[in-house]
Amino acid sequence: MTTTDASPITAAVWDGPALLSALRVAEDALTANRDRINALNVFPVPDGDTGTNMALTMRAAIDEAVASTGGSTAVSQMADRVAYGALLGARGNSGVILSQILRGFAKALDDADAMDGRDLARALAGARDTAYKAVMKPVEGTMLTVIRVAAERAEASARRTPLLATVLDEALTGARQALADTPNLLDVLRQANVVDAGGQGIVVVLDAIDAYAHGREVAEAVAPPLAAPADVEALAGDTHGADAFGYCTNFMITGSAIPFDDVRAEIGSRGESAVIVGDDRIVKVHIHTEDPGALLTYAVRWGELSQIKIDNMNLQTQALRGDAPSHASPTMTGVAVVAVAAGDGIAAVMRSLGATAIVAGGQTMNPSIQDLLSAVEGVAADRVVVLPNNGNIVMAANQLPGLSKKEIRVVPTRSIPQGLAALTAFLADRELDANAMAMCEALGAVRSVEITTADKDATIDGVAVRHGDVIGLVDDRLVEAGDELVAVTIAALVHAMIEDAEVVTVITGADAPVDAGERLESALAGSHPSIAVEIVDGGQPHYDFLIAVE
Amino acid sequence: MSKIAVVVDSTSDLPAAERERLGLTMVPLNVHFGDEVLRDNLDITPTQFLERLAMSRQLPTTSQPSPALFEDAFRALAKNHDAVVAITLSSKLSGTYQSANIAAEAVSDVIRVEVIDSQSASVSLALQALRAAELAARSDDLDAVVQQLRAEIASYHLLFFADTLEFLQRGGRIGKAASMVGTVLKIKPLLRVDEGQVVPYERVRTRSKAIDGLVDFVLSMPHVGHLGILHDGNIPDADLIRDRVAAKVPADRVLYSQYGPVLGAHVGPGALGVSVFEGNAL
Repeated sequence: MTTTDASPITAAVWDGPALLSALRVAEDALTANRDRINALNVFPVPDGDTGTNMALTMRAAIDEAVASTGGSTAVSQMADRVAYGALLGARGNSGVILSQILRGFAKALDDADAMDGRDLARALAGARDTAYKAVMKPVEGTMLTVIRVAAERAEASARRTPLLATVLDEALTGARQALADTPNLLDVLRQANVVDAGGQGIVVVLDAIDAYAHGREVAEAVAPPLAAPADVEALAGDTHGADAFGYCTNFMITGSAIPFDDVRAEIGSRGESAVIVGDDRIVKVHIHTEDPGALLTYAVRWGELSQIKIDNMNLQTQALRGDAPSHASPTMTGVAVVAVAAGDGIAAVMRSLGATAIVAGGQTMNPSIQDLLSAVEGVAADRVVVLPNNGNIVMAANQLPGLSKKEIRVVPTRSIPQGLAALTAFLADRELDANAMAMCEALGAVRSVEITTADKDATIDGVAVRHGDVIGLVDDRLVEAGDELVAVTIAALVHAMIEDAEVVTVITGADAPVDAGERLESALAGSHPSIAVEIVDGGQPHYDFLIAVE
Repeated sequence: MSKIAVVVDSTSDLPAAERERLGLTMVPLNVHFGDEVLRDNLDITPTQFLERLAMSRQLPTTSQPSPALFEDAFRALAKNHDAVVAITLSSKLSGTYQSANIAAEAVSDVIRVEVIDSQSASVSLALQALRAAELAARSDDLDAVVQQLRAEIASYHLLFFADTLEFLQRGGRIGKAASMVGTVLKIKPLLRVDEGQVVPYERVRTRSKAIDGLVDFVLSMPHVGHLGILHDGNIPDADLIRDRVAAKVPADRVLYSQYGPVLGAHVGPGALGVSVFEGNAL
């Protein structure tokens, strides 16, 4: 949009009804964009859904203003009624701040009958000041930043022109730029790759008001989030948007009797996306500039510089456009877990429970001590819990503490079900010994049932087995043999005292019939309806079912 | 009539009878089903909420009370009180504390209001409100009452488990416990509210293990001056906990609290918890 837009301008000054009409357009725009603003929410959110809360707050503001008409048509009185309605109807943090913006706006209009560009700039400045005061610890990169930059741009514009539409244009442009910059100011936004939801709401409101002033269609449609929060890793790092340019420059000035307003205006004029906060003793600066050297030369006149950080956004932008960003290796400050597992599905379950590294291995492919040691040395933590997850691997694992400088605890898990039970008890930010103890204790609460196929004729533990039979073991003891998978499994589960169980986790093997898990699940649902059954595709060889009975 | 009035938000879920007995004022948060806004515990009861939650395809959301709601409460109390102490759920979980503060400032020319961030929620907030009422009944020195309440905040310990992490995750209040999310297996997470935030405490697979965890937590405390038990209407489970800790906590020092719609929107059905106050009864 340009200030020389040829579209009709509704009026040079606004009275109360004109302001109300503009705010009605804003409410419609908020409602239309509600879901898209809601989608910008990233946790931790202080409360509720931003789009809904702002739209409901604006609606309450307008309802109150409409309900109490009949009085004066002065713009200041209309603003008062709107502000009162917003305060009554404020919902959520964003709604409360919006209500404070409207309150400050109304207060600054004093008892004006009509509003021109200069009055608007004054009102936006009042809105900004009241909004900042309402928040105990103002955070930049939020709707506060957006209203602040909008107000600053409006004030600058109003020094040149009293034209309402022109000042509005400038305020909107400032708000949009500030919004685009919010991910650079707030890590949580950058990680989720979204702009601030409340700031987006402010831009929607200003755009709608500006559209009303020009008699144009509302332009502002909220873009969907650029990426789901799940893509965080790929986007980590101090990067700016793909169209950022110049140098992202941050520094602090410490001095005495700094003329803050002058310094802020001067520094702000030398670049884009400026966030300059402080007072007469400390000034903190974030700005995108083409010439950081000249900026620092200016700044050092007012005091000592510290926390200087300059990033070349052109290079970052190129990197973003080029190859996929490389994943930095995760830094682990707590305790890591190295677990042995065969099968992609089991490995995925173990990782999801917090295992840091998986060593491939199991019944017929025991990993070497060196394999285990490499995995232990490979994790980024100095304190490591090792889960052998097989009786044949426990001893190898027990050698590790003498071979590594790292602090190692072996939790002697003899089966995959035991390994899962141990991992469930693991918390990454708990002490090593506390973790090892909790994980050992968890083994007592699980019985392991393993279902496989006999590879020879034998009589073991009093059970006669023929080659090719389905056999069931409970905690390494053979308890059942037969020719039907589900029947043998149910019989083995009875040996495992399934009647006392609350949760049965069934891990299906790579060679199990596709419907085996389902058939077992429905059989158990019939015989033991109170037990929660979970079926997981483990992908392990040899064992059709590995079952944890808890 | 005490000269100091006590205001608490609805996430304390204090039973109405208990509130009336102690003259506590409750300010409700809101629960939203789409565009429909209902006041916590007033427009919808905990039981109605859980029924509706089971039927609703859309997950409810919540919002803090408007500053005006607190302001109304403070102004009403100004008629026959000298001061107000308002206790809210953790400012790290909700903007309720902020709303109360805005209102407190707005009424500063009418009545003095001190707002306390409980740094906790639910039945821990209820225990703090009861404590405030007891202190206010014995003293008309607002500063002394507030000072003691603030000093005791660290003596309240809330531990609970949700039947599923789904609601906490969608509600965004999960904080550091986010590390518990995303496991392939279903787990029962035991969670603590620590310094106002939800943090992981323990993961177990079954409800009975989770109840064991709550009981062990109470029994591990050197001293229990007051115990709160948080439940979703499942009295037998609450009784089970009370009975298993009876040697440590006499039954008359146990407060049952059925959690309401706003908490319910964040923990879902089937949650159970305990709040321990380590201090001594007055």
